[in-house]
Amino acid sequence: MKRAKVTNIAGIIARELTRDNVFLSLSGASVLLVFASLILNEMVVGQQIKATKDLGLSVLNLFSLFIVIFLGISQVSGDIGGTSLYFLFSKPVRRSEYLVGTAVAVFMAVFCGVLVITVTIFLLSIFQGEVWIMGLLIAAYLTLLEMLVMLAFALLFTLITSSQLAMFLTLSVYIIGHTIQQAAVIADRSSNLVLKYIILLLYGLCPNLEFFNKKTEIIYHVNIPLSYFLYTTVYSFSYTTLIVLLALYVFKHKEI
Amino acid sequence: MIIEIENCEKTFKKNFRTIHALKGVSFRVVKNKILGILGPNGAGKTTLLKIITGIIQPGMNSGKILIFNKKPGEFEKQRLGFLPENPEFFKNITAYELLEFSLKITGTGFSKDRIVEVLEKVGLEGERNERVKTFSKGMRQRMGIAQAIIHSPELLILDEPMSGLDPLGRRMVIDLIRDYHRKGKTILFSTHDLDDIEALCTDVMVLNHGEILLEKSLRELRAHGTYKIEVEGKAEGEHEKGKQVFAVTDGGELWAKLEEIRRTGMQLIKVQSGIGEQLESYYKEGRAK
Repeated sequence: MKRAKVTNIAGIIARELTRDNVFLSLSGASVLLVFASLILNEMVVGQQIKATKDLGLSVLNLFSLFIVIFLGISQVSGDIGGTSLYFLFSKPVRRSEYLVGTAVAVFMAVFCGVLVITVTIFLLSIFQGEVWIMGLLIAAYLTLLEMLVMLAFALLFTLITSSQLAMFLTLSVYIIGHTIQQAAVIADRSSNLVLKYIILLLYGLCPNLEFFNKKTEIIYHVNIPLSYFLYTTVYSFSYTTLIVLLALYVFKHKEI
Repeated sequence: MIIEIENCEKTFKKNFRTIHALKGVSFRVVKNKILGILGPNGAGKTTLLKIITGIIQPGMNSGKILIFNKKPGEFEKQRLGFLPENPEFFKNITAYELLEFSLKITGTGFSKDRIVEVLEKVGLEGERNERVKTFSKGMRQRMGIAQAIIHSPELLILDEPMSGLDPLGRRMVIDLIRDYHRKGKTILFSTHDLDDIEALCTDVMVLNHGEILLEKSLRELRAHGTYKIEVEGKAEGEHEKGKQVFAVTDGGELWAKLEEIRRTGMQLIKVQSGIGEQLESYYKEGRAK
């Protein structure tokens, strides 16, 4: 796998994604939603800035997920379903270079979107009389780490199933990933052995996405130790590498 | 040797059925040939071209498959240009950007002037900054040809190159293939059109149900073909007035007949090689199977 080729592929696919109407619409809608917190503030007495933070961070997370699901999956499934890959693979491009390049491109699109929303929330916070920067940067960083994992799953699912099913499965991983910790606690107390083992199996297989959710701590300025960032970074990169390697193996043996 | 294929097989699984796309196809292509691959839909033409380009792997039981004396996954792909059937590209990218990307990825070191030159050659110079998604089918086909030739490859493989093109586009492809041939390059193309084969190729292969029905040079076909000679009687009394058609069955007989026509003072209107008819019979045989 050559880095220059991955960079070229990532560059052109990132351009393709960021010019897409879906990306532009999602970015526009997200910025509008963040601004909607101003209306919400009228209804919340005394906690205006909290409402902006709360809504802003939710939009940040959901927007990133939608980029991964709608753009990432449709890009790869569109390429595989059409003849774009014939154009690429008749040139000196390896399958691994295409897949890693695409992953980098989708991540770049997510990064651009996250940047736009983060700046919007930051400007709103200034407008509301509080310069909120550190918490916002932490939230953006954790969102990017989470989306790295989601992106790896989205690519893997796209390669083994249809685009619609891949979207459904990716969304399922997101929901399970955010609820599995509580489910594991419930399962531990449960007397139903079947339910207990199913949940424990899911707990072992699915990523624990709650690691990346520090919204409450961020909003209420609770100190997050530096070691926590190191841990989540290693967790995200390890999980992503594992899933991407699996996706590369699947793609290598896939008939196109 | 540019292409050497022995006993190439390929099967696909579709809806729990096994489809034998290629059943032991063997052939060779030497440098500076134009091989036309003819066959009905589902004959295996596209599968064969995809194996040659290294896009898909040949079947496990296939024999030797060498492109530029190397296995399909190992040869330098800079030496190859490929136009897929119904080409699709990144839709939000402009024509210029797509060719720029193609140049970068092939790493052949051409300057950016080459992009303008190729866009002019395929008749898309006015659309260089237009996004590919706004292109019609014919324009996408031209774009496909442009990306296939941008790095001036030694081997050009075109899957249905005339598809979706207007008469000017067809003329452009014909001129391009002839120009490439003059430059000593090798061209493979698949088509349904018998006239394209007759007008352009040095060699022809008829494929059907994954098997080769015919593989010959056009020179061989001409030597064994039926020629139709259309003449008009000139001297009254000696020959009847009006058009006459003679049929001869090989090249030697053809020259003798032409000499006779010249001697008798008849006016030669046209000579039809009959290759089209021969190919048509193979094509129909293939379709009927």
